[in-house]
Amino acid sequence: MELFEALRNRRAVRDFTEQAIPDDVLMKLAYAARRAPTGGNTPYRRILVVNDRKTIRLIRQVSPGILGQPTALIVIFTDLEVTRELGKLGNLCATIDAGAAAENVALAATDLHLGACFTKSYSEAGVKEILNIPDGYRTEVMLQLGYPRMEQPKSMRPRKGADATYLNRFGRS
Amino acid sequence: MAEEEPLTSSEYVYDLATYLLTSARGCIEEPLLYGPLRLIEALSRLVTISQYAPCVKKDEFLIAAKRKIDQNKYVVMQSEEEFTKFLDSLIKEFTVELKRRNKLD
Repeated sequence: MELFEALRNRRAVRDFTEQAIPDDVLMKLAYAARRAPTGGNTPYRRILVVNDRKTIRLIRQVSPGILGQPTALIVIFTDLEVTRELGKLGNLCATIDAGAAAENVALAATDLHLGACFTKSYSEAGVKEILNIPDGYRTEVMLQLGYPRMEQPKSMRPRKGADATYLNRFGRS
Repeated sequence: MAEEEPLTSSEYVYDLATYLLTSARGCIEEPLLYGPLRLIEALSRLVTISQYAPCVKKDEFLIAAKRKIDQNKYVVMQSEEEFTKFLDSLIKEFTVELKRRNKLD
């Protein structure tokens, strides 16, 4: 799939079939996440792939934003100690870069005929406890993953003002 | 993939409890409209109780309501107005059913 086709086809997919994602496909998604940049090439980003059914079920229980039944999750999180290398900007850059990694995963998922959805509505304390993520790390975003059910919600209509794009000066196009 | 074992009634209650608890925490920081979304999702999950607790009779009206909720809940991310309309229409159906169950005209 061409990049622009993936950009056009990407959706927030929340309903999945029970079909498991093969390990090699999950590793491709993790690779896509790793290909995203980090500020100053600072190694603060961590990626955790979850495909254990029981663990996913537990995470779902502390994640009100998971409304369907994903068969895998990718959690992108940050080593807060390492962000200090970038000074005060490190904290913000880590979040921005997690978003870049997550979008890479979403586009790769589209290319691989998988569905993906960014999730932030989860309990930080609960997810860290289930995944044994120690203090000193902050989760940034979680991706729900799976094979989409045939009947997907339609593409969201862009809301008024969304992605207003200007040329050279604010307000000009 | 192996079939997932069905939940026991205790697991069902515990799952719902953790959903409600984490929703309560999330509502402190999440958009205002996610509160109604969490409640309506809780209703949808509550309706399945008859699968886990044999003493609770299957209620076809509630099962139909669950279907409508699951089909319409994502509207919240598109339009507050449409989501509100959906909730109002569901409330009307519940009220008509309430009257019917209480034999009121």
